[in-house]
Amino acid sequence: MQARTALIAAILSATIAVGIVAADVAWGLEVHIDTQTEGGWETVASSPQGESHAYERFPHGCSGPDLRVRVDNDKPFGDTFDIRISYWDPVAERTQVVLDETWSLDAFEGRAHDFTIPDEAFPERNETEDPKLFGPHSLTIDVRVDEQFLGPCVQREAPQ
Amino acid sequence: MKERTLHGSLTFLGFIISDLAVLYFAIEYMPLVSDWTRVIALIFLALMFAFLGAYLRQTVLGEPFFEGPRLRWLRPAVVMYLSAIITGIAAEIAFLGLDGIDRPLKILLSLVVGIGLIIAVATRHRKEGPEARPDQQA
Repeated sequence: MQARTALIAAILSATIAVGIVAADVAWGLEVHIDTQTEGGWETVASSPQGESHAYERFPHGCSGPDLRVRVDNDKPFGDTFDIRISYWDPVAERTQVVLDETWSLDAFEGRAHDFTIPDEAFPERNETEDPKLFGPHSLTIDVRVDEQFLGPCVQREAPQ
Repeated sequence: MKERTLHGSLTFLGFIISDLAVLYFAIEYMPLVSDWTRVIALIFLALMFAFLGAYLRQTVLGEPFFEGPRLRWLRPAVVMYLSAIITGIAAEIAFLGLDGIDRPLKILLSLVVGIGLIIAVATRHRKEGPEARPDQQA
C-alpha cells in the first residue's frame, strides 16, 4: 500500500468513526416528562439534556400528579427499547410500577404514556427529600428508557 | 548503541494516551451511544491505527528508535500496529457484549473473522515473498 493511500484511508476511517458516533449522539432517543398545567402540557424534565431546567420552571422543581412520559426516536431508523416507570410509595412503603414494557418506534416516531399518581400515595410529610426544594407533599418517580434515567419529583397539587 | 530515549518515551506516552482514550470510549461511553455504534466506531478506529502504521512505515517518520540490530524493529509504525491490535480487541469485546445477536452466531462470526484474517495474511505473505529482516535491511 502506498503511503498516500494509507494516509487517505486513515483519515477516512477516523472520519467515519467520529461521524458515526456524532450521528448516534445527535440522533437518539429523547425522553420528556410533561406535567398537566392550566395552560396545557409543560415539560418538566428531558433526557439526555438532564433535569436542571426543571428547577427553573416550578417553585419546588416538581411536576403535578398528572404526568406524561414522551419518547421521541430522532434516528432515521427504528429502535426497540425497554421503558419502565415506577415510584416509591412512601405511604404503602412499596414500589409501584406504572409501566414496564418494550416499545418499538419507527424512524422519527414518538410515543407517550399518560398516568396519574393517586392522592393516597403522597405523604403528609416528605421525609426523604428537602421539603424547601421539593415541597412538603411530594415523591419522586423513576423513569428509565434504555440507558437513560429521569427522576423528577411529583407534588400533590399541579403547578400554577 | 545510539538511543533515542526522548523520542521513544514520547512515542510510548502517545501510545498509552491514545489507547486509554480508546478503552475509555469502549467502556465508559456506553450510555450515550448504541452498542452497534460503539462496535463499528472501534472497528474503524482500529483500521485508522493500522493505516497510520502503514503510512509511517513508508515515510521518514517511521525510522526506528534504536540503531542496534536487535531493536531496529521497534519504530512508530509498530506502535501504531499495537494500538490497532488493542483497539481491535476492544471492538471484539464490545461485539461479544451485544445483546441483539445470539451467542452461537457471535462465536461463529468471531471465529470466521479471526481465522480468515490469519489465512488472508498468510496467503498474501506467500504471494509477496518473505520480507528481509530489519537487521538485514539497508
